[in-house]
Amino acid sequence: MRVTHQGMINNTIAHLSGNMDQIARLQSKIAAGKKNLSPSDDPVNTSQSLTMRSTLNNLQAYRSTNELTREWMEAADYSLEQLQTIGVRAVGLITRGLSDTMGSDERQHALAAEIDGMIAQVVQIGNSTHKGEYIFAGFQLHTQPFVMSDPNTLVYQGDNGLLQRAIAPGQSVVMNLPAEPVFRPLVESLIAARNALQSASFDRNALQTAFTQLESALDAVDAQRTGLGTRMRQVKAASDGIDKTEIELNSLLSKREDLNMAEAITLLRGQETTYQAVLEVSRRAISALSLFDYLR
Amino acid sequence: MPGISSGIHIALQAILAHAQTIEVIEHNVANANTPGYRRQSAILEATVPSPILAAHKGMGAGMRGGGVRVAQIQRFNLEFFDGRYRSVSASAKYWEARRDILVQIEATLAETSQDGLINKLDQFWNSWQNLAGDPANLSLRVSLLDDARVLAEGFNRRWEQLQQIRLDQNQAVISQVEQVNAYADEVARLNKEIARVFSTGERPNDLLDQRDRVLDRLAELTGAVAHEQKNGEVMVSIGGHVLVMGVQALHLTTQPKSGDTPMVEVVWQADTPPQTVNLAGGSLKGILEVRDEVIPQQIQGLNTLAGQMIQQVNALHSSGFGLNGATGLPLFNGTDAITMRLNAAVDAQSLAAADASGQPGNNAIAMAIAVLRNQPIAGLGNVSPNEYYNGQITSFGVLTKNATQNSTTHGLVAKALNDQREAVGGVSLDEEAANLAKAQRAYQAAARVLTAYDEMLDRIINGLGLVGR
Repeated sequence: MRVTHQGMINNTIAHLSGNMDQIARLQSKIAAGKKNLSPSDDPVNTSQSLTMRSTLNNLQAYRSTNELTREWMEAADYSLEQLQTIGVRAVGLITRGLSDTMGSDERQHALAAEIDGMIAQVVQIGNSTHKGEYIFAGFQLHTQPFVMSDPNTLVYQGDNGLLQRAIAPGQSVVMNLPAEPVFRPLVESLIAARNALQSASFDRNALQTAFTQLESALDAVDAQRTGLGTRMRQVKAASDGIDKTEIELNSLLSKREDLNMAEAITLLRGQETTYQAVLEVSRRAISALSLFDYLR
Repeated sequence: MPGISSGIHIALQAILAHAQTIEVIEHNVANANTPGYRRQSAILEATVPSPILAAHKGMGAGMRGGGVRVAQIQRFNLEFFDGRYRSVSASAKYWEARRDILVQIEATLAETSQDGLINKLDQFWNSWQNLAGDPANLSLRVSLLDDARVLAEGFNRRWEQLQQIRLDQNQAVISQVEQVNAYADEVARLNKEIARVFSTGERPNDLLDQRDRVLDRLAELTGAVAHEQKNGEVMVSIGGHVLVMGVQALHLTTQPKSGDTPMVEVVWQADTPPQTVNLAGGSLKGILEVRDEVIPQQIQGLNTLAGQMIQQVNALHSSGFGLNGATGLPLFNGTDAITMRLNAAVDAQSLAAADASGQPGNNAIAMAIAVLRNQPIAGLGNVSPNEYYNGQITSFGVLTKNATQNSTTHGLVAKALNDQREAVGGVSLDEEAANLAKAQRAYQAAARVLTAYDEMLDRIINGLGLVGR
C-alpha cells in the first residue's frame, strides 16, 4: 500500500488522540473513584445502582423513625413501670387498711393521705412528656391529658389516638397505648380506696371493692406493658433488619459502582506507556525524515 | 536524413517536458498538506515517429523517434471510493451529531451525581417519612417544605435545560442549512468552470479537487449523493430531490414548524408548497432527530412524572389537616415539570400530616405520602415514581451508549475508506523526491545532448573550410 505523508500524520494524530482519550477517561474514573461516569457507560448497571441508592436513602429514613419510636416507647415503658411500683405500694397500704389492727385515726389520716399522694403521682405520670410531647394524650400531643377537676373526678383530655409508625418497608407499629383505659380504673380505684378510708364510719366492703378494682386495674397495666414490650422487640428487630440490609446493599453498591483502584491505576500505567511509545514512533514518523534529506 | 536541427529540437522538447514534470512535482509538494488535494503526475510519451528515407534503398531504414512530450497531467483519484466514503461519512456524522448532543444532555442531567433528580425525589420521600415519625415537629416540617421546593425546582431546571438544548439545536439546524446552501452554490459555480475546461479537452484537476472537497462536506451535512455527468458536471441530490443540477443550485430553507414554535423545519425553497427535505444521513439529520424525537420524549417523560407527582401528592395532602387545622391545600401548584411550584400558601403549620383536624400526633397523611415512593401509579404505567424516572435514565443511557458506539464504528469505517483514498491520491514526499531526482537527471542529460549538438554546429561552422587559411 502506498503510504503518504498526509495519511501518516492523520494516523499518528488519530492514535495519539485515541490514547489521550483513554488516559483522560481512566483519569476521571480514578479521580471520581467510580466505574461508570455517566449512565451511558453501563445503562443496566446504572439503573440497578440507582435503585439500590434509593433503597439505601429510604432505609436511612426508616432508621431515624425507628430511633424516635424506640425512645418514645422506652419513655412509655418507664412510665408504666412507675405505675406498677405505685400499684404495689397501694396494694400494701390497702391490705394494711383492711386489717383490724389499724386505728381509725391512722386509717383516716395517714393511709388516706398517702393514697391521695399516689393519686397525684399517677396523674403526674399520666402527664409525662417525651421531648415536649405528652406520651399518653393520643394524637393530642400538646394537650395535657389528665386533669383532676375535683378530688373525685379524673378528666381525660386526650383522644386515645393510636400513633402508627412505619418501622420498615410495609411494617408499622403502634408506639403508644390507649391511655384512658389504663389510667382511669387505676385512679378511680385509688379514689374509691381513699374515700373508703377517709369516711368516718369505716366501710370495709367499700375498701374491699376498691382493692379488687385496683388489682384488675394493675392487671390492665401489666397487660399494656407486656404488649408495649412485644412491640419494642418488633422495633428492635426491624432496626436490626435495616442494619443488615444496609450493610448488604452498601457492599453490593460498592461492587457495582466503585472502581478497582489497583486495576485502574495499572491500566493507566499501561496506557501511559503506550502513549509514550506512540509519541516516540510519531517523532520518527513525522520528523522531516524523507528522501529529500538524502538526495543531492 | 537526420538533421542537426531536428536533433536540437528533440533535446529542447526533452528539456521542456522534464521541466514540466518538475513543475508538476513542485505542485504536488506544495500541496502535500492541502486537504482534499489529489496528487498529479505528468504522463510522458514519445512523440509520433517519422520514417527515415534511406538513400540506397527505396524503403526507409525504420522509424525515427521524435522525442518526448507531456501527454497529459493525470489526477489520481478513485471515483468509486468517493461515493463509498461519502455514504459512510454521512452516517458517521449522523451518529456523531447525535452522540455530541446526547452526551451533553447526559452531563446536564447529572443523574449519577448528588445533583440528580432521583436524589431529590428520595429526599422528598424521606422528609415525609421523617415527618411521619414525628408529625408535630416544626423543624422537620420546615425542612420538608424546603425539600419540596428543591424537588419542584429540580423539575423546573431540568425542563429548562432540556428546552435550552433544544433551542441550541434549532440554531444549529439554521446555521447548517445556510452552510448547505453555500456549498450548493459553490458546487454549481465549480460545475460551470469544470464543464468549460472539459469542453476544451483539458482536465481541470485542481477544480475537481475543490469540488470533491465540497461534495464531502455536503455528504457529511446531509448525506447528499453526487453523480458525475458526461460533461464533467455533477448532479447532487438529497434523498432523491435535486440539490445541484448543472450550474443551478436549489436552496434549502427553514420555516417555522407548525405547532412547535420557535422550532423550524427544513424545506425546499423552490417547491410550492414547500416540501420537507428527506435527509438521508449527515449531521443535520442527527440534530433534527435529537431535537424532534429524543429531547421531546425526555421532556414528555419529565412532564408525566411531575404531573403525576403533583396529582398524587396533592390528592393526599389536600385531604389532610395541618397543625393549625388548615385543610384542602394542595402542596404543589402547576401541572407539569415547568409549571410545578411549591404552593406558597403552605407553611410549616398548615403542612398536612394528619387525616383529622386537631390531632397533632396524627401522621396518617404523612405516612400515605411517604409510601407513594414505592407505590405503582397508573398514570406512570403502573410503576412507582422512582422506578419511572430510573427507567427514563436507563433508556436515555442506552440511547447515548448506542450513539457513542455507532459513531465510533462508523467513524472508523469512514477513516479506513479515507485512508484508502489517501493512499491512492495523497502526496508521498519520498515518491516526489525520487521522481524529482529522475526528472532532474533527465533534464541534465537533455541539456548535455544539446551541448553536444552545439559543439557539432561549432565544428561545422567554425572548424570547416579553414584549410590553407
